[in-house]
Amino acid sequence: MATNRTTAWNRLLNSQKGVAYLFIAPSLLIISFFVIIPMICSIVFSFLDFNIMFTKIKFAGFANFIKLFHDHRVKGALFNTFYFTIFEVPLQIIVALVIAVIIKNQSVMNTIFRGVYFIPVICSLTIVALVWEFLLDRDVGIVSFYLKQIGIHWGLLRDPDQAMPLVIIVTVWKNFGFSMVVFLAALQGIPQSLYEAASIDGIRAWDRLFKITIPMMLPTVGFCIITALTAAFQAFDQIYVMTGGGPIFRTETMVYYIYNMAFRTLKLPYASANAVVLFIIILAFSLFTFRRASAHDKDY
Amino acid sequence: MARKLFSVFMITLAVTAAVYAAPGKVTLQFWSGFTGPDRPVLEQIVKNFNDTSKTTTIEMSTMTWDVLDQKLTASFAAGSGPDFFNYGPEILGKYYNLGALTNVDELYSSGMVDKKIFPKSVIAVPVIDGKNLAAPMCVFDTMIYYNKDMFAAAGIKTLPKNQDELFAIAKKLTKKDAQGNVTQYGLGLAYDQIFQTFMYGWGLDPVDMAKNKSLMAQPDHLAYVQRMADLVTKDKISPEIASTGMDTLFNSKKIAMYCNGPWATTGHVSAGVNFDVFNIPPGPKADKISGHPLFYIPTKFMGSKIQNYYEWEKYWVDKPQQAMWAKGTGYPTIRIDMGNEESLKGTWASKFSSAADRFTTRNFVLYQNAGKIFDEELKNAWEAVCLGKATVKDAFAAASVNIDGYLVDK
Repeated sequence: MATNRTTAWNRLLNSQKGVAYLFIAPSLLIISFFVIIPMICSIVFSFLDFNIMFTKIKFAGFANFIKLFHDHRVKGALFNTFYFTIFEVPLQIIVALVIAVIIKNQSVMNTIFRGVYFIPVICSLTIVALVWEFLLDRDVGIVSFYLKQIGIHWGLLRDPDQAMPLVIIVTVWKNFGFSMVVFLAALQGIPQSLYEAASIDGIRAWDRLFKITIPMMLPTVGFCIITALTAAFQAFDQIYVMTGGGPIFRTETMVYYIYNMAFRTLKLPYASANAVVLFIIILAFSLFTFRRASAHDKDY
Repeated sequence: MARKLFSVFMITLAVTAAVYAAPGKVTLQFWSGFTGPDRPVLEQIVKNFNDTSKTTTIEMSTMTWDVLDQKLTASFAAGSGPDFFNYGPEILGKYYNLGALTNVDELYSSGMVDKKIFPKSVIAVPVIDGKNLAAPMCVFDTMIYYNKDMFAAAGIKTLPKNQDELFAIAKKLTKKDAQGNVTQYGLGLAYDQIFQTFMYGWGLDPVDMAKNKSLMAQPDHLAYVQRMADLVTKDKISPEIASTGMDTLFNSKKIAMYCNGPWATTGHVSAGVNFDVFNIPPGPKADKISGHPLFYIPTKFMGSKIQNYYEWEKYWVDKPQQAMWAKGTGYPTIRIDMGNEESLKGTWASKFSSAADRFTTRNFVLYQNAGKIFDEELKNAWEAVCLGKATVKDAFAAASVNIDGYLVDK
């Protein structure tokens, strides 16, 4: 018996696949426990009806999904989520790409700038949002103070039309440093010979950017878009701290609404149904972006 | 020598065995949402209890109200959580409907705590269907904080006696620059105070409790809301929405008056504001709602340790602890027999106690969706009106329909 076990173990260690599985086993275990199992639970919950004490459990079929399609708050939250994502993601990628191209060369100043731009990434989003909430306050904020000096009296976070753009700007400020660092790494990976050849052919700097740099970086851009998309669809902390979903629900995103349903109203099955819908949306967008980016993944 | 050493060893062994053989103290997990200046006072009282109790140890975890709310939901769902926690009465309804709260009638029936020491509202608040579903923790009224320097500068020498006088003073205290932009607000009006304090004080309840219907679309209610909206949008006595909180604006000397509970005193003292407090002037019916934080004991986790909890409750409401709580936090004591307590004279607690005879409550907060009615529907409608996105009639007619929907889940 013991010999059989030893033989099986040796066989596992001698196979390349077996060793690979052993290496990924710890992280797979953690991911299963904290991501996959809760995700499956969430899908199961969305088809049930129960209270948080897990009593009176009933099969609800698609009732939770039908309900959410008639919920005006869900419509508003979906609109706000798309609004946030459509503006935040491109802005973050463009700002990161432009700055990465500007500071890609090795110099003392560029090294300092890289550090400075990366600082917001390592700061807690909650703290960053708290600071910005004070800076952007209409009555006591410094931004408002300077705007008033030049005759602009904006409501800022209290204005339903300005609140979401401001949340987007703060999020871009907080996150672009991460994409910038990834772009910087990708820029280093572009073969120098391509630029030399372009230089010999007399290609202008502008054309080099659009015909060499950006096409060569498309897989990296795709990766950054997928991570930024996922984060944008899940925007919560900054909204929770800066606006609380207001004014008049104009910054209430899907995740904020799900939180509200689950933790304030204790409607776990309904919140789960909303989470499943959001999951499907993120999955669809991520797959689409991944396929588009992969299509440009070429070896040179 | 060897025999002596052996004796010492045996005695030490016996003493150690005796200590470890003694029945262990029962540990109670306590989650608290008091994170402000009241936190160290509560922690000290818990520590003193742990030092004196022979049977019970309390392990206290402090977190913000939002985190507490979130953790409670998760803990009820997961089946593990605190033995007791504190929270306002607004969650009574939703946890009662789940059958999650322990009936604490025994606290009074066994004579451990005498009901007569509490104001009537403290006894009334946690009762649903004749059952005591939470134990008293503290009680407070919100009062109006006012900046004495701003009052003096405006030549205001007498405090308002009714809502009309209050709003007239607020207008007088509101200052604008040459372009008409407000540089100083007269009275900070938060949405919840408009409905729970001022409108209710005027005798207008947002909900007809007997008929289980929203009253927000009724002409009297709409007229009152319109009056308040005019004060905010036309007279500009208050910011429409205060994203940083009225207390911050008061500290920054941007508002002359606002309503808050006793916990704000410490912050305003630290900020160097020259302030005092006065009772919120009553409306024609003199109705108001007081705050009643409670101790909740979830059925799921407490089990047989309830007697240990009662020991804590008895300790908590005793005079020395109540005096310490009042002196350290500014909250009034929860006992009506401490009105003349010498050690409390001249403290903020004594000022907040001046309203103690008026502590009142009602059962509206017992509705399962009370939070949604106030924090979502009424807030949303009020914001829409103040921001010019809807008329009072349209906004509150729509809110009224939604509130009726929530009232079904009583």
